[in-house]
Amino acid sequence: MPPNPPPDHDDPVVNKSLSVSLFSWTLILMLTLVWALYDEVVTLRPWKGYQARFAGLYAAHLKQLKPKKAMQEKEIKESDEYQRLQQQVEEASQAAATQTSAIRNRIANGINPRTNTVRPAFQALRGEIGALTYQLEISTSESTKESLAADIEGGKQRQQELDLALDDGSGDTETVSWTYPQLEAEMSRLRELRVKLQSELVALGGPAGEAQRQLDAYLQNLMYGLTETQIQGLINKMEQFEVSIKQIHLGDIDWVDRCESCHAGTREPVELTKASMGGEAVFTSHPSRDLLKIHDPEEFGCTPCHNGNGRATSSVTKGHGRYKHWLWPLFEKENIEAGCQQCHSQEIVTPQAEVLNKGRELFLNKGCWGCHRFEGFDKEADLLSDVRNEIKFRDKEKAANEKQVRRNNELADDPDTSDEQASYYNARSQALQLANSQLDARLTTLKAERKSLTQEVRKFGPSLKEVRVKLRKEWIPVWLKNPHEFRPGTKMPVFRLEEDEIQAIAAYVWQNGVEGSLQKHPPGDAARGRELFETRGCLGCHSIGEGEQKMGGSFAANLSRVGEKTNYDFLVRWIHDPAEVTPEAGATGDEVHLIPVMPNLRLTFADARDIASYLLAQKTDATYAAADYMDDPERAEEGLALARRYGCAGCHEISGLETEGRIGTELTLEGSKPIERLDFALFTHPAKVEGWYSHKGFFEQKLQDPAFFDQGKVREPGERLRMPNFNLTDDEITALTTFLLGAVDTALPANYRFEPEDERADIQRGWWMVRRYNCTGCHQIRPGDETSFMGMERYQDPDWVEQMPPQLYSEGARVRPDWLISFLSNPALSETDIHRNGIREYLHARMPTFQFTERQVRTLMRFFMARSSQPHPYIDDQLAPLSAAERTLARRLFTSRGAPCLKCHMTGDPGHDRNATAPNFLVAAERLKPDWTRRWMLEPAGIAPGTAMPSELFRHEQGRWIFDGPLPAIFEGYEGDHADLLVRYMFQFTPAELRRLRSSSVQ
Amino acid sequence: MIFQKNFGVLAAVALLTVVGCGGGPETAEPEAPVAGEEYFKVDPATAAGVSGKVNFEGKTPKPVRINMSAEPDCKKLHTATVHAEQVVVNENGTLQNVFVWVKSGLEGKKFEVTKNASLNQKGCIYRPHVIAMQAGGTISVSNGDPLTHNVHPLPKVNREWNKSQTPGASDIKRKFARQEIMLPVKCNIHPWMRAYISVVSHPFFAVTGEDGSFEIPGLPPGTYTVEAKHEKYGDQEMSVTLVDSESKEVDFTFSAG
Repeated sequence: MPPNPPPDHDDPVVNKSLSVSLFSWTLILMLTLVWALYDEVVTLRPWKGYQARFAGLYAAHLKQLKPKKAMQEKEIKESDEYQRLQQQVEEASQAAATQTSAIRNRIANGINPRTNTVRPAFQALRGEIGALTYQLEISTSESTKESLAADIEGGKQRQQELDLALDDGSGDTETVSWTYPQLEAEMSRLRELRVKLQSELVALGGPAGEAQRQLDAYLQNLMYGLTETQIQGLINKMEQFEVSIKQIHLGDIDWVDRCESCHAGTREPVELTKASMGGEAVFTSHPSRDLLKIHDPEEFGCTPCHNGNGRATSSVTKGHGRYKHWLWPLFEKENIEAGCQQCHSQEIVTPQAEVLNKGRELFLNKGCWGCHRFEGFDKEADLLSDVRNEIKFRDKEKAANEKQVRRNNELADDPDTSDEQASYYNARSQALQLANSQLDARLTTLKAERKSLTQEVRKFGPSLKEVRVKLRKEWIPVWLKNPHEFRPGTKMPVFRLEEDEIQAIAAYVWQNGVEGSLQKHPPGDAARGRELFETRGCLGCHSIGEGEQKMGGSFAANLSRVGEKTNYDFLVRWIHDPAEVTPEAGATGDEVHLIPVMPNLRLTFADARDIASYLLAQKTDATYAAADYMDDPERAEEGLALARRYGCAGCHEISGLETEGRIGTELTLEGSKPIERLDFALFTHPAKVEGWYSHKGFFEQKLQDPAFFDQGKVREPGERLRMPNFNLTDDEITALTTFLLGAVDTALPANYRFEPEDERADIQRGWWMVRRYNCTGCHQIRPGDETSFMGMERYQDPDWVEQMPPQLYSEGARVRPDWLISFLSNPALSETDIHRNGIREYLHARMPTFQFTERQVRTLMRFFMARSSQPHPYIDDQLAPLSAAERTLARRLFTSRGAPCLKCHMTGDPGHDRNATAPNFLVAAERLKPDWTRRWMLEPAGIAPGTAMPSELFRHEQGRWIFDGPLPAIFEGYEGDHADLLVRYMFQFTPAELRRLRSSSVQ
Repeated sequence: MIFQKNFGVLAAVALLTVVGCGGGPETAEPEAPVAGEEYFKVDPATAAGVSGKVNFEGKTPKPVRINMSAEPDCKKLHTATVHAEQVVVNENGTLQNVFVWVKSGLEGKKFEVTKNASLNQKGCIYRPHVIAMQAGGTISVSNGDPLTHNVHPLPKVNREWNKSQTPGASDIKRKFARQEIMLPVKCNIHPWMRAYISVVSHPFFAVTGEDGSFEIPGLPPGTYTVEAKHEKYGDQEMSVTLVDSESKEVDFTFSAG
């Protein structure tokens, strides 16, 4: 036997109790399990708590709402109209009741029992005959066939005795003895009878059904929001509310958003506010139902617009994506419209995104695109290069085709070629020639476009080629030093320039200006000039006065100190025709002179002199130091390098710098640039600590103070950050930040993006023009637009209200496209009589002549047409010609005491037209569309709120519109529509007719 | 809860019945107020008032002639020269067409609508030139001329309208729902025609007439700002404190400056 090993006294397994440690570990394990379970069920699922609270709060809110709705509903139901409609329903159903019940009785007590008796007898016999027929078909012996045929015939002729209820529903019965064909005939007769009676029943229910529909519609019309029953439905839904993950899954891009697991009230049909949901903002409804209608969350989800981590459900921070590892944090409330930009990147105006729109407008009108390329903001230049490339390509294609034609012809004419081959070559040649003819058409279009685009390309700021003609020399360095001090709010930003840099740039600009002479003008009448300046329309874009005294628009310069910088003769020339240039400053070689944005107001020289005299007096007594250094060629040399460095040519046309590129970084996708590539410089760490290490933080800081990230750096002037300071307001910074945050390389596929190719694209393109030329400085295009005129004191006076430029809400529906094209090209509508408005001669404000190219005129025309849903191209409405009798009627009505049309509308008589406030009828036919004209006469305030044209001129009676006033006696017996009659009269108006009216109305 | 609500309605109805019965024969049955909204009633026993006149000092401006020659139909209606009513100084040296009202001191009180306004068009002139009414009240405009006018108020906070009125047409009746002082009314056909309507949220206002005086009775005791407003000479304010049944005189003076 092997010796027993000595007992191991030190073995803890044997010698020590493990209970304590086992117990402790078990306890820890248990606690961990409990913790894990708790975490799993509660901590990681905060949405459960949200949903439970939501269901409670929502149900409570609904219960509060219900009695109010019940009251509202009750009030409506007690109204006379409702009672009347309800009675109608009852009467209609009663009227049908007797017949209905007779038919129902006939079906129940006649047709049903009769069918129930006939059907089994018929079916039994049909089965028997069917079985016999089958046996006959499969039988092979002729004799069996014969006997079976006899059996079948016997079955058909067998008489069956039946007790049948009569089909009139009286309950009486009859006894019949029928063969199979008789039974079959009866079955089909009964079927037809039933169908006939049932359709009679439906017809009888018609009037009652119609009355019921009217009743329901009446209630629905007057009720706001949901009815009591609907609210009860929601309460029931909340009672059965199931706590679960609520998610939207976008199948096509495999996108999951679980936002509604907490934001449970987003899409509820009742509007939920923070107050109505116990102060919990998380449960409020989406603030814009209209937006959700266009962007159904089932199709668009939540995070494609809002950003954030749609899948995360474990915490608010995770869900909102506000942690280090999520690249797309939820947009802050003030930047929420950034989400629109990624899909609406082609637009400058997106409805319902006013902050974003402002950001885009600032980017355009502060000239950001002068230094920073941003796709779409220098469209004309981009298009021009596309068009030039295509022209080159098409030219080559054409030449290649010509070459091939020559070759084919040679081959065809070659004696060695067979006839068959020759005709093949000839056919090829012909096809190529036809293709070239198409190419010619395309080239003509492209060249016209190139011509337009060449004129449309622009720089943001004014040309500096004419500084010597235009500016006071000593003013230039003062301006360069701090433009905002001279002219607060100007678009020229403040550069970080040292004194010697200012001198050098001033010298360069001055010495590169062309020499030229100006026509000398005698002084004008400044007082008259002031009146003209304030009423002709200058203030649509320009402003004058500072602080409280400021009036006018912010699109163009504030002219409060313009007298300090320029000279009289230049000002007269500029006001008279902004496109006129000193010949030396015009086009040189390939370059074209860029046309200024300022339009031509078609002023006489006398007017221009008066306005210039007034403007020249706008100055302070500031003194200007002599600037002889500006003539030093060496300084100019230094200045050239500096002008390049600071990108002056990004915004200005400067001799010698015509081909300079942009100096800033491209911003088209700046919002999705990796954050590491945004240079926080020495502020990387502080930004992380302070919580602004984000795109938003960077953009805001940079816009607030473009030199900010240079702080703490040791840099020579030539190495410093170059971006100048625009002195933006906080609102402007928010708007621009929103725009930049939305400027991303979107992950969404093309079908999510708004890139229409139909008339909506016309609207998109038009808005760019509207913004570029500041149409909204004078005109309202969308409801809520504020023009510069609306803010001016003069136009608050009741006498001046009608002097505001016309509203253009429905311009596309109002005017004919061909007329609009000619008007936009020449608003005087005349080649000779140009110092006036073509249509509204009575307006002091004048529609200026813009130097629009054909392409631009077309773009604007299509913009207005598309906004008013007009078909393109427009086809004339054919109006029925007026009979002689109708003409007399219309003429009488037109000049009657009751309808003094010619009191306000122009007639061509200068004495009368001085006080006119509406256009001449003579131009109606060539300018207006008949359907719009009719709508205008019936409800002008619905088309142009505040118009001088009175409303309710007509009343609707028995399906036609009748003039609501004393009618001339000859209208007795006239059955036509009066509005219609007047439209037809107006569209067939002639100068002779007007003369006739004028003489008769004076009497 | 429902019981309480019903009780509230019942109480309101009961109260109304009592008030209705106690009002005496001359009081018209007031329109039933919406439940929960109570009109403020001035206790006749303690009602106070403000009255006074609006003086004018300085040189009376030369009357501005209205030139109706563009409208022979209007011109025919007058034998004498017509003058604009922008500044009308009375023989006793007071100013006509000044709108006087309690501008503040009545906040939070809601008054039954009793004061409506009417405007007539006669001889292509609005008569009277300055009128006033209570917010929620009705303005009725009549046409006393044998020609068509259009009535076009130009409000800022109320809804705008513009209706033509043919000779002999029935009166135009419209409501203005919100307070708005001196809102202009014009006729687009006859551009010289101008009237001003003041719409006030309470019934304590007056317009000076041919004697230049005004009277605002029936005010509850309290401290008020009384404002006098003139189309051309702007506005003036005065603070008055009225104790029970007190009637105070307040005079304003506008100067030609």
